[in-house]
Amino acid sequence: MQKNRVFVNAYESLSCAGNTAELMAAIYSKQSGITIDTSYMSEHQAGLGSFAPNEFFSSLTSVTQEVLDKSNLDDFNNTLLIVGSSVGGIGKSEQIFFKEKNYKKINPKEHAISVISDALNREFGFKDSRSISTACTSSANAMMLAQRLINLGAYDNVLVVGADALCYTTVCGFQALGVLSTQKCTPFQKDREGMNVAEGIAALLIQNVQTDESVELCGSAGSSDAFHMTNPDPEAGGAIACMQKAIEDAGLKTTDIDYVNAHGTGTQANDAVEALAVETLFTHNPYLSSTKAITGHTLGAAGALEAIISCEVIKQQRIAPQTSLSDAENDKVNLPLEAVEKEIKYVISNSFAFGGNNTAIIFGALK
Amino acid sequence: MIYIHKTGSVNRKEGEELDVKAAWKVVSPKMIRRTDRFIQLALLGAYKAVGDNVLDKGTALYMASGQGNLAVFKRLRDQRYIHKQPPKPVDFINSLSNTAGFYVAQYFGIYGKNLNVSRQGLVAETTLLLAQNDLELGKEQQILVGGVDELQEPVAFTKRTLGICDERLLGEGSNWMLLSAQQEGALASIDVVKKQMHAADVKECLHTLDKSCKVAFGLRCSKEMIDELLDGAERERFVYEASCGFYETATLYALNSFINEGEGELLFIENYKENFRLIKVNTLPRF
Repeated sequence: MQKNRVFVNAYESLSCAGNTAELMAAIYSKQSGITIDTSYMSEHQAGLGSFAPNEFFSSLTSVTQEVLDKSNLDDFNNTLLIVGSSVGGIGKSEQIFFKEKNYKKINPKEHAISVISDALNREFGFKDSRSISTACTSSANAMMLAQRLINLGAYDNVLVVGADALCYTTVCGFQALGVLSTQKCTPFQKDREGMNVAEGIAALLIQNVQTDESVELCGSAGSSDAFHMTNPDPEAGGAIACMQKAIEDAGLKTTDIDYVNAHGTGTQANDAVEALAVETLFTHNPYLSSTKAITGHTLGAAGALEAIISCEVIKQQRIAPQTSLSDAENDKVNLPLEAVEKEIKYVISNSFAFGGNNTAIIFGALK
Repeated sequence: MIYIHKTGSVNRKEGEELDVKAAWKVVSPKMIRRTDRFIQLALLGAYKAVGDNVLDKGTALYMASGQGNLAVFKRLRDQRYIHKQPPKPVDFINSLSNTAGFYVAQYFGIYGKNLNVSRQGLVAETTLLLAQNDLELGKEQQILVGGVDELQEPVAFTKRTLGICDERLLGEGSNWMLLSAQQEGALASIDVVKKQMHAADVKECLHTLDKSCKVAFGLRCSKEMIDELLDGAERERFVYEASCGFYETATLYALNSFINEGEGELLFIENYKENFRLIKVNTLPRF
């Protein structure tokens, strides 16, 4: 079957490090957007990434509008919307509960994952919509589905939106699991403490036409560890499999990859296994870094946000440095301490989630 | 063209009893720790489809749910807001949308892509379409597709959430099918029509449909809507509704029931807010 090529043609984001331009400046200057916070848990401090409390849904609309303004489209009426989110409208329900002190005024329709696509549909009138919820791979899986639908010719335009707001359920849930860091996270550091939960919105217009601004979405793949609900396969089988399959899907060799944008949450389990996977799969030692040291872990939005970072790395031909690293746990992977300017043809972006849910996406510079 | 190789269903109508844990103990001696009823329902339905067969390790898993695991969210809210306690780790983990899919993948030892699709209206139809696309593209070789929805009490509140009238009974189910592009050994072929249709397109389709093809309508199609779509056309109906209360993924129950009970060709029609999705199923000779 002849497959249509797939291009990322416009995007915008919002995270604790600002919009996309501000985010990239923060990444290259190693300025984290994380703040130390006690508002969610008075008895515990945690590093969190927040951009505008209570303005999540208005920000969602404005980020999406910015993508439309940057695009070659007049509207989104002929565009499929695929949302990736793990939190959906839980934060809204929590706000209502705190105000009303009971459940009665919580509208379950406003609580679901699909509340994000419903809100965007009301504003922009998309042709159709889907919501993918696979925890921290949600929007990476949304990207993969967008690629496949355009490959197949089912749609010409797909808008992928990764969006998750900060809320008590996630902050306190990760605290209960003992994986939150009290400080700014330090991915791949030997004595790392844990992750920073953060909020983020990232929207990418993916199309079957090439423009001067395009980055090609060359390949993607997913895998399942089927090993443990919260811990990755210690032999990194699932992480290796999804990267390998994505590289095959793109028709590339492992040696073609110039940079690995890591999932790199800063937890003990993730970073050790991901570094092992990169060390095992790539014999040519490509650059590896996690930008979650700047943005925190935006959960379901992370895949889309890091897709934008990967596209920017290609456009700027500049590898993102690893912030907050002084003593790497794994010295066999190539973690750059400063930004590196070099020719970058292909970037692979990893997203891993609880349940051993792994997704890798490959972006390429236009030939 | 893609093919259905195995089907399995667990289905309960409001007012009926279903002890999922007890039913699981009957089919499998292996208890799954830390799971709640929603996850057990997913496992039981998947087991009804797969049984003790060993699936190819690369099999992908796409699970659809209209409502997801709502019961665990109530537990989490109670822990936080009523008991003023942090979330129990097991409940926080079980609240993730892909947790049920993980347990199914782990139980059957499958390592392919594991996806959870959430949406109100047409969630089973769009999940089947995603699976069909991936099989047609050759991105996946085999996909275990399931739909899981749990009946939530109080019923009146759930009906309001789902936008369902008071007279209709609710239900719950876990319905699974194993899909691949290989015809050999298949129970049926399936074609999810790629185009989303309006009522006029559906009417046209019904009028040009072969007379031998049976028709079934989704649970979001009202009697008035069905009469309007048929527009006086005589059509043999496949009736599954008597044994099925409303839940978002009941489409998979209807398709599985046809494959298990019926023979021939079926056109299944469902809508959400008058956007229609059509699925054609054709049973194959069984030897």
